[in-house]
Amino acid sequence: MIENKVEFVIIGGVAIIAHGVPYATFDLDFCYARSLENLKKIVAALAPFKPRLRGFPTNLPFTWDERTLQNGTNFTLETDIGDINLLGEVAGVGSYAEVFANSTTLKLFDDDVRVLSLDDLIKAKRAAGRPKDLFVLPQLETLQEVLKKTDEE
Amino acid sequence: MTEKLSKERLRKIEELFRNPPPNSKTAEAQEFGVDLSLLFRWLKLSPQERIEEARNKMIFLDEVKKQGEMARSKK
Repeated sequence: MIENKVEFVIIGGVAIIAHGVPYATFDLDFCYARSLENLKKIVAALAPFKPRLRGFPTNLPFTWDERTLQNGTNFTLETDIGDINLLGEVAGVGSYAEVFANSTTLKLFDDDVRVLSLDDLIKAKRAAGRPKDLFVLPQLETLQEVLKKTDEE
Repeated sequence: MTEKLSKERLRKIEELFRNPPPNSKTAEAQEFGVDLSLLFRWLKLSPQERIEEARNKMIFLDEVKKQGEMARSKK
């Protein structure tokens, strides 16, 4: 995704982990820009890993191209390297532009990667409201509190 | 936040975790059952180290699962 210069922000479990909460996750969630140019980059970046729709019969026709991405917003994908979720917007936060605006840049594996901010993660988890989201909220809110109280800048 | 938190900041956070202020989110989390010592251990790592640690934990769990399956298949 980075090599292909895709416009994305990491959200979900990996963002939770990166911010400092021990958390188990088995997929990678991205919020992505919906421009046609970006959709083409996503298609090129993930094509080598044979994306297909997760939870659908393998014989169901599925074409991995920008037209498919244009026809939807959120995609739960199974790939040769693991499960990847592409979200055009984040509940409780908004569109990619809003997600990006408040995102944090973290150095991950020698690259600067945009990650959903801690404040927006909390908003997203509150909005999602599932038991697994609510369960992690006390840890995220604790982090938010102690990081604000000890902010040295 | 691209690097590890400073030692001074970690010291302040450790103090907050040891003595959560009344009615704070930290106190609520402790009451809820959050392991603040585990949270603190993760805060000492850089973002990349946290992801690597999570990945290692999942590999470990996968290995435990495989060993369990092998043990059961021998019975």
